[in-house]
Amino acid sequence: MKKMAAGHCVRKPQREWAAYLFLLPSMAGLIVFLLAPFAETVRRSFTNALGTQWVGLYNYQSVFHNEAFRLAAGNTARFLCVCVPLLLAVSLILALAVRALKPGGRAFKTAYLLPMAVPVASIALLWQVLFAEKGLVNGRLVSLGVQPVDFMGTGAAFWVLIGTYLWKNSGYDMILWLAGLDGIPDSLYEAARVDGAGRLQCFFHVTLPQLAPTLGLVSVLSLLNTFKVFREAYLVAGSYPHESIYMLQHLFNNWFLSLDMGRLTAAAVLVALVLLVIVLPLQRVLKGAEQL
Amino acid sequence: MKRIVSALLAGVIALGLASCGGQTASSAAAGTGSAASGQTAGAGGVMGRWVQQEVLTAEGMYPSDVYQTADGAVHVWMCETGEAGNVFHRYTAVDGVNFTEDAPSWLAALPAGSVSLTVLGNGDVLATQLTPMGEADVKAEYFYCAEGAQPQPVDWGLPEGMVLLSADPIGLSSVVVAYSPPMEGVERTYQSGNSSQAEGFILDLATGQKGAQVDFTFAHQSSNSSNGSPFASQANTGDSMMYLTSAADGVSLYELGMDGRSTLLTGGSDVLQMGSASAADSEKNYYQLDTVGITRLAYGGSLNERVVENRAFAYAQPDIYPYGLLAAQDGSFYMCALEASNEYNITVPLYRYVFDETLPTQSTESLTVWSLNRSDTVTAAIAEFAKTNPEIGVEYTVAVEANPNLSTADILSTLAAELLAGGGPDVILCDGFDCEPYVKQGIFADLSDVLNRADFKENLVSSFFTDEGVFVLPMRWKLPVIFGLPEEVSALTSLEAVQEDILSAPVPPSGETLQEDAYAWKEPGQQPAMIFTGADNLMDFVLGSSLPAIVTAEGVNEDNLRTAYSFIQAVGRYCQLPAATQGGGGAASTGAGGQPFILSDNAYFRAMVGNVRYGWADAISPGMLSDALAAPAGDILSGQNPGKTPVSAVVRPGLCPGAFTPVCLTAVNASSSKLETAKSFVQTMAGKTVQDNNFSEGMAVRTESLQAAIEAARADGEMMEYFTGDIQAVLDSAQTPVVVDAALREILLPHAQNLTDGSESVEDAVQGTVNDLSIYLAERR
Repeated sequence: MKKMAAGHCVRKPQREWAAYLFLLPSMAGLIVFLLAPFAETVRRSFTNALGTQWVGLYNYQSVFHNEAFRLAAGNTARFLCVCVPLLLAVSLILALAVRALKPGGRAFKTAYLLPMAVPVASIALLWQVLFAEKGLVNGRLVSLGVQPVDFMGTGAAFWVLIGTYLWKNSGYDMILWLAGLDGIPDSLYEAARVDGAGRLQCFFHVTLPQLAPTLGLVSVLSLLNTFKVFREAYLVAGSYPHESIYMLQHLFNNWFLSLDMGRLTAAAVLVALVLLVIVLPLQRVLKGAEQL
Repeated sequence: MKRIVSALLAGVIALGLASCGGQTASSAAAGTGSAASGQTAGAGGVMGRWVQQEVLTAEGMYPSDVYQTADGAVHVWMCETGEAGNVFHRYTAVDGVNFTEDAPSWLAALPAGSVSLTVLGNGDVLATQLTPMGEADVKAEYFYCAEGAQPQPVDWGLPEGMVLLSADPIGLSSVVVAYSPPMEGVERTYQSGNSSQAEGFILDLATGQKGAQVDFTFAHQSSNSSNGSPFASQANTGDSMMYLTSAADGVSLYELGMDGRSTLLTGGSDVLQMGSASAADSEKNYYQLDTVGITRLAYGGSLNERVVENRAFAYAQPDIYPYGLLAAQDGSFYMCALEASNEYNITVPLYRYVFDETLPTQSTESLTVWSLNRSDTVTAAIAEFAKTNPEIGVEYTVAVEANPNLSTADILSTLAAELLAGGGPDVILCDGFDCEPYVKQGIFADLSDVLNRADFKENLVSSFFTDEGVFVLPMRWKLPVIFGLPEEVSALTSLEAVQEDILSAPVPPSGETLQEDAYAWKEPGQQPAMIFTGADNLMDFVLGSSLPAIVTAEGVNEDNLRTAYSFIQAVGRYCQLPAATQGGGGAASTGAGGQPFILSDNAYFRAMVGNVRYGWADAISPGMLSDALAAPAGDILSGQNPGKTPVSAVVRPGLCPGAFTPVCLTAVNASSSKLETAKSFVQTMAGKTVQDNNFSEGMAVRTESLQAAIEAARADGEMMEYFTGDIQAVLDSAQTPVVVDAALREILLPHAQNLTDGSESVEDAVQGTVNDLSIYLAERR
C-alpha cells in the first residue's frame, strides 16, 4: 500500500481494476470488430470455402502459384513504391510553400484539401469525361495534332491512377506536415543561423530530422490510403480493368464473388504480414529518431 | 470520493450497454411481426392469419361475377359455352362456404343468344343478348331480370344517333347508362362508340325511371378512343359507384353518386392499379387485388394498406386470371378466377380468403427461396407446395425487386456474404450469374436423392447429373432457333453458311430507322436475310450458340474466337450495325396449344410481317415453333399479304452443337437448416404439376410434361398446316447448355463493337480478348 499523503491511502490493484473497466468498451469493440474477424480470417485461410474442412497450406500454395495474384501483388507493390515517396515529397513541398506564403497560404491550404471532399463517384465521372476515348484530354491532344491515347485501355491507366491518388491525398498529407513543421521550435533555427547555416542546411539538418516522427505517421497513413484508390479504379474500369491497374483489391473482390474464400483469406493474411513487416521496423526506426 | 465516482461511472457504462442490447432485441421482435396479418395478441402469443379456401371449382366454364345479397348469401355466376349457345349457372352459398347450384325463376325464360350477365346491387341481373346481323354487325338487346319476374326488355331511351357504350351498376337496381356518337368509319352498331366522348344518365331498371345526368369529366381523363365503359375498376357500394381514373400524376379514385356527380376520394396514387379486380364493402372501403394480395383504401383516406398478403395464394399464380373480387359482410374476400394452363384446360375456381384466428401468425416453419429476377416456375411451385405443406411458409425474395437501388454485383456480394457465413436462402435460383464457383466451393447440396434422372429429358440434363451428384438443375429451358422457308433454313448448318447467306442478300435495316424501314414491304427476291439491332445483338447471336467453345476449361480457344469474330466483323460491317441496340419492338402472346411465344425484332419481321428471309429467336414453347413462327401476315402498312407460307426451324448454328439455354437453374443451400424441406420444394418445382404449366420463361425439362406440350402444339391442326418441320426432332437436338456469364459478355462486347465499326481487326480483337480474359481465367485457376 502506497502512502500518498496523510489520510489518502490508494491501493494500486484497485486503480488498475478501475482502469481496465474503463478500457473495457474500447477493448470489446477492438476484439469484436478487429481482432476476432482477423482471427477468423486466419482460421479460414487454412480451411475450405465454408470453413468446415481443414486443408492445411493448400490455400497458400494455391495463392503463390496463381498468376492473377502475382500480377495484382506486383501492381500493388509497384503502385506503393511509386506513389508513397511521390506523395510524401509533393505534400512536403506543398507544406513548405504554404508555410512560406503565410498568411496568404490559408486559401491554398483549403484549396488543396478540397479534393478529399469530392465523392468517389464524382471522381469516376470526372475520369470518364477527361480520359475516355473521346474525352476532353484526347480532344485536346487531337486538336494539337497528337495521336489520342487510350488512357484506360493501356499502361497509361497506371499513371492516371497515380495522378488521382496524388491529387486526392496531397492536401491531407500537407496538413500533417504543417503540424509537424509547427512543432519545430524556432530556437533551433536561430541557433543554426547563429552557427552560420544557410536555408538548405537548415532544411536538411534541422527541419528534416525534426520531422522524423511526422514522417512515420504520414508514411503509414499514405500507405493505408493507397488501398483506397481501388474505389475509383473499380467504378471506372469495373471488375477487370487494364492489367496495369489490376490491384489486390480487384482480385479479392472477384474471389469473394466467386466464393473463393480460402484463397481470399490466405492472400489477405499474406498482405497483412507484408504490411506488418514494413510498418513495424519503420516505426522502430522513427521512434529511435524521435528519442534522439 | 474517487472510488465512489469511479464506481458510478462504471455503473453508467454497464447500464448503457445493457439497455442497448435489450432495445435491439425488442425492436427486432417488433420488426418481424407481419402487419398484414392483423395479428391479435393472445395469451399464448400472436395468433391469426389469412387462409385460402377453394370453395367452388367448375370446369369448362367462364366466370361472370361474384356478389353478395342483403341476406348474406354469396352467389357466383358462371357461363358454359357450347354449340347451342351460352348456358348460365348460378351457385349460391348461404353460409358463404358450401355452394350449390340454384336457378332464379327468370333463368329458364332468358332469351337464347344471351352472352353476358351484369349483376346489379340487389342481385338482379341485366342480361345482354346478341343477334348476328349480316357478316359484320350484331344487334344487342338487353333484359332486366328480377327474382320472381320474367325478363323485361330494356329501352335505354338514348338520344337520336347515339350508341350505347355501357351500363354499369350503381346503387341497388340502377345502372349508369353511357352513350356516345358512333366512331367515324365504323359501320357496325354494336360496340361502336367512343368512350372519350361519353355522356349519360342514371337509370333505375326496376322502375324504368331516368335519374340524374352523369358528369363524365373525370372518367374522360383516362378514356381513349375505344368502345366500352368509360369507368375503370368499378365497385358498386350500394348507393354510389367507385371508379379509377388515370392521369399524369397517377391514378385517382372517384365516387359517382346518384346525383350524377363525381367526388375525388384519393388522387395521384402510385399504388392503385387500373384494370385490377376491385370491390367495395358496406363502409365504402375500396379493395383491389394484385399478385401480392389485397389492398384496402379506407373511405376518405389516402393510405393504401395491405390487408391480405401471401404469395402462395392463387392470385399470385401466373396462370390465374382474376375475374371478380367480393368484400363480404363478414370481412372475408372472394375471388372468382379463370385458371388456364392452356386454352384446352380451363377451370374456374372460386377462392375465399378468411382470417383464421386459431392459427399462429407465422407458419411453424418457413423456407426462403431467392432469385435475382422473378420466376413463374417458383411462383407456381409455392402454390403447389402449400397444398401439401400448409404449415410451411415460403418466403420468396426477388432480389432486384427487393433492392431496386442496388446493382447486380452488390446483390450478389450480399448473397455471397450470407452463404459464406453459413446462412443465406434455402433454395437459390442461379439465373443471371455464374453458379459454377458455387458448385465448386461446395455451397450447394446434392439433389440426387430427390431428383430422378429418368424423369427428365436426358439431352437437357446430362451435363448437370455428374458422378459427384446433381447440385444445380434447370427447371426450364429455351432453344435458340433460326426459322424460315424449309429448303433455305435447312442449309444453315454453320456460322459460315449463315454469313454467306446474309452477305448475298440485300442489306437489312438497322439502327434508328429499323422500326420504320423493316415494315416496308419487299418482294421475296429483295428481302434481306436477317435482322440485327446492334453489335451487341449480333454478339448475343453468336455467343448464345458458341461461348463454351470459345472460353473453355483450358482457356481461350483462339481459333474458335477468330471464327466468331470474323463472323461478327463481316456481318456487322455489312449490316452497318450501331454499337448498341436502341429501343426495340416485338410481340408476346399465346399460340398453338395456348403456349406462349415472345418475338423480338429479330423474329418479328419474319414471323409477323414476312419481309425478311429468316428470323431468329429463343423458342420458349413447342407451340411457338409451330405457330408464331409460321404465319407471316404481310406488310401492315401496304396491305401486301403473301399468305401463310411453309416454315421450318433449326437450332441456331454456332460453334457448339445443339446449343440451348438452361433457365431456372435451381440449387439448395448445403448449409440450410431445413435441408429436407428445401429439397422437397425443389422436388415440387420439378414435379409434373408445376412442369405442366406453360410459362414464358421456357419449356419444361420433365419428359412427360414436355411431350404433353409437344402433343398439344401438334394437335392445333390449323397451325401445324404451315409448320413443316419436326418439332420433336428440333427439340431433341438440344445437347449443349450455354450460359453467357455477364462478366465475360462485358469483356467481349467492346471488341465486338470495334469489329463492327472497323476500328479493330480480327487479329487485334483476338489478341486483345486473350489479354483481357487472361486475368479472368487466371483468377479461376
